[in-house]
Amino acid sequence: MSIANFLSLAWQSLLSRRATALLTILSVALSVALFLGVDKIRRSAEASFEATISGTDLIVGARSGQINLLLYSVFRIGNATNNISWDSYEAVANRPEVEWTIPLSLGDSHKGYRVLGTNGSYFQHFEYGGGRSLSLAEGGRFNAPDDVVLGAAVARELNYSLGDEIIIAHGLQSVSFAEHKDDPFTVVGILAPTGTPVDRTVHVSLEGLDAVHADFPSATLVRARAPAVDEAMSGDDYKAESITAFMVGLKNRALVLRLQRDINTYEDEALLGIIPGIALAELWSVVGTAETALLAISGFVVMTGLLCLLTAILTSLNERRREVAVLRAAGAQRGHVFSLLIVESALVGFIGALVGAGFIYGGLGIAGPIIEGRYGVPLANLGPSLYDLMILGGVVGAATLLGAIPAWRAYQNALSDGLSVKL
Amino acid sequence: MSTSPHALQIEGLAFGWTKGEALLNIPALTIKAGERVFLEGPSGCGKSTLLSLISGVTPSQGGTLHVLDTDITALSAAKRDAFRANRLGIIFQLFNLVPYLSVIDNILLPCRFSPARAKRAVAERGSIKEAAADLLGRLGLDAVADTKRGAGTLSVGQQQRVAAARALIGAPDFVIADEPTSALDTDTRNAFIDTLLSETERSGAALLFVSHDKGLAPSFDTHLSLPALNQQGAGR
Repeated sequence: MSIANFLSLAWQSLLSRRATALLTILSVALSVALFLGVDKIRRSAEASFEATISGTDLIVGARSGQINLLLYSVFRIGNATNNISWDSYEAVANRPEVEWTIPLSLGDSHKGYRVLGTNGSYFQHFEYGGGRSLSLAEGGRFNAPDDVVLGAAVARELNYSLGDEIIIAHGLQSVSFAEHKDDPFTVVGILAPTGTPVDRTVHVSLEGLDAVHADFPSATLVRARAPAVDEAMSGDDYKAESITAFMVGLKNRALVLRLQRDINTYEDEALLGIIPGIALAELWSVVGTAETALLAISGFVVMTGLLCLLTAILTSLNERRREVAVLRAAGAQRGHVFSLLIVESALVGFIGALVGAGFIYGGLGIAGPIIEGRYGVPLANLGPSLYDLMILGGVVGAATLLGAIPAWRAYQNALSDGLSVKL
Repeated sequence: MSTSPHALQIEGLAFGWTKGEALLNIPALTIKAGERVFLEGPSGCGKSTLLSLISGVTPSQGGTLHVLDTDITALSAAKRDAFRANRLGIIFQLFNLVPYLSVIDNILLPCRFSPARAKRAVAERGSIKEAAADLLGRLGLDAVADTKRGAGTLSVGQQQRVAAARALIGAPDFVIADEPTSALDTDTRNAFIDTLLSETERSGAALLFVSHDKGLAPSFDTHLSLPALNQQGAGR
């Protein structure tokens, strides 16, 4: 019997039990979709996690833990234990092997979003997602002390547009009593979405932040915006008292370990320099465990789907004894009966896997562009991969193997039934 | 195409489903090639078991069993299966058809499983489809020939005729029918037997027709009684 005839026979047999077959296919499809979906989420979470920062060779802050420093400087989670002095910052920034630095001053918030005080170097040198620079969706960088540049999510969630005035609160609570209603900042720029914590950050200049802390009367700020003073005051030359941390880019990456050692043994102040990639990997090894657990659970769901398939075929065997006997009388060999059931099981597994993959890729195809446009998380790397193919192949292979169980039963039935089939 | 001088030769055939409890013990039974034999016996006398043995579905336990001059006891299970597919046509009492396959697909099943049957059908009519259509015409089934519906939707009489067409396609040498008419009314039954006889005569195939209904016997060349043949059958 040719393979085409075989497939057609198995197919027509399935069609004759289409309600059960559809449900079985659906259960396999859903379990496959869940597994692939969890895997995609895991991958995109890891990818976007690793994409939070790139191009930075060292992050330097007050001495604490590597993860703590990474969390507050990059993820805007938690707080610094201490600030570092401007002198220490300059000592590092002025070293010959250092190409650029980005000062970071944290500790304030606006309606629950962290405020980051920095300077123009941030827009110029900060990179994420494998070498992508920040770009402005609207407006420009901050020039004056009361200018503010919003991350994409801040602008979207709080419905801000250019020219809006916002108040920055001292401290991190979304409702703070220490708001400085006299010192409104003006939105001058909104960043394009990046899919990183930058989206949820309110950016101001270092001196703007100091002005909040110094509780300058608004008059001073207005005066500070006068063109004559502007050049001197709000350029990148502004020296703050202290900052929370800073990022370092080197001319030659090979020197990073030496610089790290020098920073960690800096005598005037207790500093800590961390290499972002290493710190990210350490953090992921903690966070990633949950994802692995999720993947294991969805693996069990796939097994459940396959067991559904096995149950459905085994249940159908009794009502199909007659069918099998007829096939035998018409010349089917026992091997044919065996193969027929295996083919049927493989067919259900194959269609289920295909439909499940269709759910996932269809869903990603529709949701991907929306997510990328809105949140800046690229889903391009989540298309069909070799790994997916291996998973799908594994499901079909497992379905085929499981088919051997009903196939063996049918084979035994066919032997004991002979030609006189019990009804 | 009957080249074998004998369709069936049995000597000292013994069989029992449970050990030590023989159901069949047939000292001798011979059917000549092309002979149409009516084998009569009450329910439970081992008719279906005998047919299972002859068709090679059930392996025999002792004695000589030659079908179409082939010693099928010497064949492996797979070879017996292939032998049945190539050379035998089988009709059951009821539910002969795969319900989800169309009429044509049901008739073509033996040609799918046996290249030899397909080859003979092609040699005879040009293509297996033609051979099936031809049989349907002669069995008076033109009306259902084109239905795409599953064969399970046909009437019982039509189903039995489709089963006959399936047993006859590709000119098997030996047709075995196990109570094929017991579910039919008198008119349908007579028509069915006439068709079966004329078709086997036409192709030269031997026919072993098993039934408990002695009234059908006169149409056949030979009339045998299983209880008379079977020494174990006495008193059962």
